[in-house]
Amino acid sequence: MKYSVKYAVKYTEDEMSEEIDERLERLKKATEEVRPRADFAARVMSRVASEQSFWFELPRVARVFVPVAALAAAAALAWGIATKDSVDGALTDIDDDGVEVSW
Amino acid sequence: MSDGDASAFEAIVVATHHKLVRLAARMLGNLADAEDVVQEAYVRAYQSLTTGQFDQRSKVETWLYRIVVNATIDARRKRKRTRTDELIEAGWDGAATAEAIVALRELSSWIAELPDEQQAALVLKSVEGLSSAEVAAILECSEGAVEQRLVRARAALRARSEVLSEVLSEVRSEVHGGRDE
Repeated sequence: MKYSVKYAVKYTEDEMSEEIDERLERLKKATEEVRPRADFAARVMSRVASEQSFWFELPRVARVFVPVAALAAAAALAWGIATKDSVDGALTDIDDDGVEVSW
Repeated sequence: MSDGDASAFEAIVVATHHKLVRLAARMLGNLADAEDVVQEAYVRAYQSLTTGQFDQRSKVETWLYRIVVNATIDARRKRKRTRTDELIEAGWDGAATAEAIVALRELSSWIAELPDEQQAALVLKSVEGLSSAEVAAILECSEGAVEQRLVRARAALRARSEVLSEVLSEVRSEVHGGRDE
């Protein structure tokens, strides 16, 4: 208990002896050389590469695929309607020129 | 870059990772967590670039700073909920000197009680040394708002120091009183 009170008093005295700007400046200088491990950039790129899976690429692929698929669907619909009209016309022609077969 | 060119992204990583990891370490108080946060931030950034979510209204570096600041704030919140002091002590700090490790922890614990946006403004402006305009661009607010956050942060730190001062004088008087008796 005595030790922790002594430590708290010492810590507080240190803290109070500095103005805010002085303390910020000291901490800035003390942490200036902090840097990641040497292989950090390589690890980031390896992680990025591993994320390039199907799910990661899906939004990008979807951005290209969805408009193309929508166009294809619209074209198929138009072709379907046009084909239906021509089939209906052909069937009507058959009805008009129908031949009755008797046994 | 929008076509997901990994080598172009690697050039960005190489050019920015020192500053970003140092920023995250200054806010989180240790390097191990900072590396994790920045790595995830880069993955998110790469995904945004390849999917065209980066609107190019700000510089890439400003945008990366913004992602890292937000990721760091999230990490701090999660840590408050889940981590204990023992786990923080066990963090890896391989690439920092003993003095830097102590300073990172001191800085982080000193500003820990400030609101997130004040912490970010204080570290970016007063520790990273960025201009008010740069900080405003990163935090997506006006320069006036940055200055206001800085004033409030300093006032809060000063008030805390005054409280500590009162506690200290009480402790002193108790200690001296005990001796006199």
